[in-house]
Amino acid sequence: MPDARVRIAVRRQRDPESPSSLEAFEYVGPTHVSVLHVLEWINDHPGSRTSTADAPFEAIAYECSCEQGLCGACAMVVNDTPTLACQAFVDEVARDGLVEVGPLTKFPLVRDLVVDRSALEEAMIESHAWLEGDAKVTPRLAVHQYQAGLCLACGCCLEACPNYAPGDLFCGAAGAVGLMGTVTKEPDDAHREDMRRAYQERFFSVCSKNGACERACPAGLPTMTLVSQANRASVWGFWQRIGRRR
Amino acid sequence: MTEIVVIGCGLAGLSAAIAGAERGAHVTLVSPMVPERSQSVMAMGGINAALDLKGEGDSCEQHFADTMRAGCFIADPGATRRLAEAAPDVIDWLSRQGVCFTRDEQGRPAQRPFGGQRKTRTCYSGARTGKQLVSALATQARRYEASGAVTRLMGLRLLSLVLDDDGACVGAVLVDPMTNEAIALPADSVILAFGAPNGVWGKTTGSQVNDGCAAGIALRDGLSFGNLEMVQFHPTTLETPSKRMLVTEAARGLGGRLYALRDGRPWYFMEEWYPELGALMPRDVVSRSIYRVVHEMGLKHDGRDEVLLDITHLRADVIERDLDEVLDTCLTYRGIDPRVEPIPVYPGVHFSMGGILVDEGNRADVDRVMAAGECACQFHGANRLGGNSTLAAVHGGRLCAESAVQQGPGASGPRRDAALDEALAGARADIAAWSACGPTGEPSRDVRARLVQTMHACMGIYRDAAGLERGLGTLRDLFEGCRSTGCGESYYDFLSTREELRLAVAMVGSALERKESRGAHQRTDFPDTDDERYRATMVTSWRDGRARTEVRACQTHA
Repeated sequence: MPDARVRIAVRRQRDPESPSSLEAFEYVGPTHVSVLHVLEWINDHPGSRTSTADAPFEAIAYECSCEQGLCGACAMVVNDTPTLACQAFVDEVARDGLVEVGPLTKFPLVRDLVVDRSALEEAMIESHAWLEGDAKVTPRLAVHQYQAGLCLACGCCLEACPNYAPGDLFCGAAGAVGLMGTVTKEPDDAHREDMRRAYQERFFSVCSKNGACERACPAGLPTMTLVSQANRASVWGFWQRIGRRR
Repeated sequence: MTEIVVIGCGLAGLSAAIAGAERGAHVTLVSPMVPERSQSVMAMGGINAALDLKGEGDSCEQHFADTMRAGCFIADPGATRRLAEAAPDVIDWLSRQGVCFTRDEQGRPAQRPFGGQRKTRTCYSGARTGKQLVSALATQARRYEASGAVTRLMGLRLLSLVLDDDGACVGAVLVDPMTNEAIALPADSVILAFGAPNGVWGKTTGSQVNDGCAAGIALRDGLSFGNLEMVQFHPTTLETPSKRMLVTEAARGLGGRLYALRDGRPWYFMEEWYPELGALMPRDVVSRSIYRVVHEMGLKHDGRDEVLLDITHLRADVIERDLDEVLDTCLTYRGIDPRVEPIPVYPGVHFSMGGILVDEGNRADVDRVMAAGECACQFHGANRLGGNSTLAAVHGGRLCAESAVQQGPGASGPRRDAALDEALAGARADIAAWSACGPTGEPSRDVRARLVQTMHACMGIYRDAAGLERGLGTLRDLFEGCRSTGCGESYYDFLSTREELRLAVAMVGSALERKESRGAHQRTDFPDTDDERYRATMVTSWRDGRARTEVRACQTHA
């Protein structure tokens, strides 16, 4: 495959207080490579910058760990789509020879393409999403619990979700998927009720079942199926029991 | 209350944090990134335990024996025996923590065969064992975070261990590489669980986050390292534009066959050379066999240094279910469909058997420092079995916490505070000095490129004195160069370049001193195994500005 030239525009921002701007680069090389690979290439080839700038090139900041779609570190927005940069291939995402790369916008910015995703974990703590007792094994639910365990905590589902805005109580698909796993494994009734309440308040009452999360999930999780499992475990069973008590 | 600082939040760090909190300690869990990003999530294959579910007569004794044999008898026998004996309990503990193990018809964790083992002993969780283990343990760590027993500090890197006048560890200094802000954390014990030193190799099958900087720092700050020359080349890795990606051993465990084309026909060299285990021989043997086929016999695939891994005879639904990650990787990065065509593979750097030397309680030789997981040297000897790394990380992490709690509170009061204040002030001065001079000298990118090139040239599958000495000279020069100038685009870049070089110097020094061939360490100038002199641990420490390696008898307390 001959080398191609692709224009890459990267949103740069030194820190949360500084203004952001697009910086342009020209990538030269094979095109069935990931956007992550191109970012690394740019940092190794500062001369690829085509924007006129007074300041010397500073390496683009981004998070990266496994480079193969297993860790969720490199989630960012590529040509308007939240995705993992290691799984977005230049030849598949380029539009008119251009790839625009920016940070996830629903998390506080740290620098360039790095954002602070601690809201994801905080929501899980506030939802009491853990086990107090020894995990129950339910063969019927095993496949869904396994899928819940694949969540990368990358944030793409929240980025894509029309119901989520930064600071919301709503925990999005990442929260619902995590709670589905813990609610269905927890043997302790009282703690399970805590998680059910959290699920209803932080997810069920807000989710419009738009499905954007499922389309955005880089791990390919069937979020809508997992949500319906979570609903069964956290909402319908709950109301049935309330009804019985009455 | 005992205060424990855990560096690293992969399987070993999470296990240590949970076990410490369970035993009433307060744990501060420190890491550059959250658990979901740790290299542990990349472990695919499984986790070993002699449960004997298939009625093959498996036992902990056999698990121990297989591990020792694969490690060519230089693992710590006492610690390894305990590892094998603890394994069934580890599986039970993980199961209770909520790990979704794949289960058999009776609801017990299912097991499958893995390389180098005579029994079916590897538990797994679909095609993503490491990910499922991390997910469950991260969820349970949260429980203790909510109760206040665990505090998570993410986005930080180790800058130094702080020792008091008696040489005991009293805490650690950490730095935020983004802001250059340093903090000092007091601790009664520090547990190191920072994983592999991948940075010295440029890229490996593992995570970029595990750069080796923390290992260099631990060496500098007085810890002894064992068997640093023992680096596992995983036999089956796939070339992609960004790095070599792992093709899990499970592909061979499920029946995958290795071949090269000889006179236009597939030749299954492993099956011919090793009729009993075939492609499931221990990894070092498979890697050397591939090297022999490609380089000595010249049987290259399309002129490239590769042989072929064939799983096309497996049922498509088995590949899609149990090897879905192999399928994804091949399709996504190379456009190869392993259901209908063979996968081109070649050995790649995968795992460090060597690391911080620890005793049976995972204690390092600096008082109040423990280590577990890939950064520690203990169980794997000269070659690690598939399915033993995840086991060692969980078991080792729990042992670290036990040891830390057993040791209890250490020195506190003004002496400790003074040591911490001094270390923090020193770190801040170092950062300020770097900031004042900024990037000077040879760019770190070029220094790292030479480090990586040197390591691959002299520390590959086959080594000899001439190459190792040449490599050591280059690395020493690079290290000295980095000490005097402020290379690096950031302070952390400067620090990590220097510390990775320090570690590389120690690795090559250790390889030079082991004048024999054993497991992952193959010397063309010393092709035989020398049990009399080297059925032993190569112990490397940093003294007077140099790495010094000595031969020490393997720990034999059992």
